[in-house]
Amino acid sequence: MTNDLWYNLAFYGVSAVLILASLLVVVRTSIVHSALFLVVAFGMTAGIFVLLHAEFVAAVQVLVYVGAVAIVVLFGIMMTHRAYMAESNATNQQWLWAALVSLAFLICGVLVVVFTPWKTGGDITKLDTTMEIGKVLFNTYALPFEIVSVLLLAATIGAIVVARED
Amino acid sequence: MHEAVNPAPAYFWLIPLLPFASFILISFVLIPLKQKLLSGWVTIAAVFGSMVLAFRALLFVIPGGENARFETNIPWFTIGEAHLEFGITIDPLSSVTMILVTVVSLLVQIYSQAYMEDEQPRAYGRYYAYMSLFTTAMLVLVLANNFVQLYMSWELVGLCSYLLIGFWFQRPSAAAAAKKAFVVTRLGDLGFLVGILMVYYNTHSLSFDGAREKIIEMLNHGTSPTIITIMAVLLFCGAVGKSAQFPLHVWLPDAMEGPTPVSALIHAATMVAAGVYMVARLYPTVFNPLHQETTQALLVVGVIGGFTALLASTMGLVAYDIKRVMAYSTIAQLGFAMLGLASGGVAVGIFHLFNHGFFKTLLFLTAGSCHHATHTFDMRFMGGLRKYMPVTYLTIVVASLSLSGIFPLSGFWSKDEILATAMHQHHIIYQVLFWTGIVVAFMTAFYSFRMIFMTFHGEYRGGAEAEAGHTDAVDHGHHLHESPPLITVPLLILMVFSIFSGYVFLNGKTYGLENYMHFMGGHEGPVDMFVAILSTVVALAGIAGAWAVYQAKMVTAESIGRFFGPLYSLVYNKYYLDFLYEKVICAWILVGIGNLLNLFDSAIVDGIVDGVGKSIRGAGGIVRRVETGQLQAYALAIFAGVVVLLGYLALMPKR
Amino acid sequence: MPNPSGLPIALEISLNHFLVLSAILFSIGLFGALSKRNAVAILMCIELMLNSVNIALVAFARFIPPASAGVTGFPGSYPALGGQIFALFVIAVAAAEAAVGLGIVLAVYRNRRTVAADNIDLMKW
Repeated sequence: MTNDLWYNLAFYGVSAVLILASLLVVVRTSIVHSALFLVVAFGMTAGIFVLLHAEFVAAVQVLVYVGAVAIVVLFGIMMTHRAYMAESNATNQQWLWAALVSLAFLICGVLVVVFTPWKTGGDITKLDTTMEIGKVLFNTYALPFEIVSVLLLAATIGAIVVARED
Repeated sequence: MHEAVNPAPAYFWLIPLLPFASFILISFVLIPLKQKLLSGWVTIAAVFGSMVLAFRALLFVIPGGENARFETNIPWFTIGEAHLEFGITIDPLSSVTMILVTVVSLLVQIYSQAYMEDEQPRAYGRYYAYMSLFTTAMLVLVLANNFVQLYMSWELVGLCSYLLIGFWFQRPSAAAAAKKAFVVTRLGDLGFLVGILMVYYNTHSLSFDGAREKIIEMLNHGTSPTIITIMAVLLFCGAVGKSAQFPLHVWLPDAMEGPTPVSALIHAATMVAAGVYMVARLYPTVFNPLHQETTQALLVVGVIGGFTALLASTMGLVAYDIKRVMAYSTIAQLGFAMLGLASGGVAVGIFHLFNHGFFKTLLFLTAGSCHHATHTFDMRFMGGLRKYMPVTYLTIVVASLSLSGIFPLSGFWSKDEILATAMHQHHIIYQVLFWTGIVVAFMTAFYSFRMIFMTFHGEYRGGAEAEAGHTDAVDHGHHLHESPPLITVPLLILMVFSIFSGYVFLNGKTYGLENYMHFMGGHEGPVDMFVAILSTVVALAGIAGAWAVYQAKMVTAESIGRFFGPLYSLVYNKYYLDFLYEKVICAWILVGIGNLLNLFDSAIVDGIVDGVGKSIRGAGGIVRRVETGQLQAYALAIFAGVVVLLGYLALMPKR
Repeated sequence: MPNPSGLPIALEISLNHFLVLSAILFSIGLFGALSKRNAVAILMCIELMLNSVNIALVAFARFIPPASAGVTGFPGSYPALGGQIFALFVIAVAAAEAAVGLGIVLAVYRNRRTVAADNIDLMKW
């Protein structure tokens, strides 16, 4: 818990932009607009990570999500769009039901969160998180690390195989 | 369980086993080896052995008199509380009937050697196999002492009858006749089976003795005799079918499609006698357990017997096929025997059965002898055979005299007893039946001698060629000759029996009628002269009438037919009973019910089964619309479920 | 909710705030995934959902001390940054999934000339 004014301001500002950008991703009917707002959302998320003292994760977020995933998404849009750009991201017939389910989910989720007695008290502000991550990643979590690398290899090959012309 | 009074010596088991061994031997050894005459000799040897043992059984039983009983049972199987046994019973009734069966069977088998000699080896062997099986079944029936064994052998005898009637099964008429015989007797057997079940239900016993004791006990304790009467009448249904009484008599005339020895053995002397035998055997059990003068059940037996006798005799007056005349005569005489059972008890009925077996078999065998010479059975195309076949003529005259009941032949004694006991009964119905019997005696004599005059007197009318339509080739009988000895010797032996079977020769002494009656449990009394004279006069009148019409031609048969007009055509068409059974009941009613049930089956039963399938298909057709193929719809459903779960967790009371 | 320091909740940024933020982002992403026609847009919304989960994980790492997680028996100290590690892995997997997913969308587009999710319904009744 901090009560630093700047911290609070930063949090609420970044959150507001984040939520707004997410909404616009979903609401805009032009697919390219959605993609661009997605990039904004990713960036804001990196900001949230910084506020949470997870600098390395923030860096990775920018590198991977903004730098790779968003690009791949844009490539996908480029290679698949057909209709007029302004209508390329319409909503379908079940949007009302989807909205209801999402709203219900939100309410349930918030209720769960608020009424759970979290045992807070952790303080990592004094840590050098990057070095700690490095230490742990090659000691305790070495195996998942290797497995993820294999997964990425598989994904690479898989994506090529699925998407190639035959 | 009722224990046997005295055990029967084990060798009496050979009586049914010898013909059975003959059947097995012929079926499995001789037919495959294509033996022909050997089948006949094996059967004759087996039946001869059974006959010897049957006489021995009679000797065994005579010292004990009326109440002699020898019984042996072997346990068969057990269902619940019912213990089924397989047994033989040697007592006066069974020993006398066994003699009838074995003697007649033996003579018929010998006769068949000549009669069936033109058959192929396979068919010849088949004939003798069926004959052996039939003899086995009939002997098991006679020796039976419990209902299950009786019913089993009853059905087996019916099966053999079917097989033998349809022996020349390539002929459609023979196949149809066999089927008709089996189905009609089966109708009677239905009542029989219900009767047996009813007896078991009320007495919990399947043996005759056990049932009898229970029934007597029930009647003494005040049970209404109506139940016993119903049981008896149901059991009698079986006899009505098997012995061809009204209304199930229609199969016997058609059964003449079988070979003549078959008609002689099965449909004159033995199988059709099974019905009479069954009533006699069950007489002390259900028909008259308390030894009264008469009972309701016996009245039913008597009325049906008497009515059948009258009906069949009228039909015998107008038939042209010689075997048909004899078939109707058999039906009538069996009715007469039933009447005898009702009015005079076991002794009187079985006495008539015994005598009738011999002279009726003789009559059939003479008809076969005529066929052997002329190759036809139609009396309109025979005639004048007296000159060419003297032995046959002699035997048939003696047999007809015995059938007509002329003193002192055997038939006189038994017929006289039946009429006398009927007259002495106090119930009014028996008086009516007595006068019916007198009329029947007249008609019996008339049609018997009509048969003789048409066949053996006058001019020969051509035989088989004339029947087939070659009227120009009216054979003047030059090639007609007497039958070979294998045929004529049995005829002569049977003639002797026809004369003397009213007596029993034993140990050099002559046992007369009185001893027989005492032996069989009847009451003895002086011969009733009124009845004797009346029946003889009536029989002589019948003979004279036949002579007048068919020999002296004082009145022609056609003019009598015209005189009676519609009555004649009614009788000639067998009272349209066959028409009723076949065209009305079978073709309309049964087929109609069958169509209705078919409709029910296809509409409702199939409807239900198909309906189950169709409704599942329909339900599936509706439910499958959930699979829209829309990915996001599925995802929506998944997340709706997640929301429900989450809501539950959120609202769940905290621990 | 206990609020020991006495300030209004809005000014005491705590775990709950981040988690609520995560919930809001997740439901927005959910709405988008269920209601957009364009397949690429659906993938983008899925990325949003993964993103929100990452925020929650990192928030847990920040606020919940390792001892209270209840896991014992590790050699050495229990890493206090499990949430951040988890978030890293999620990012890696999300990237792989985005790549493969877009490959599939391209393959479908090549065969059916459309990326509208409601036109791709061969598996219907």
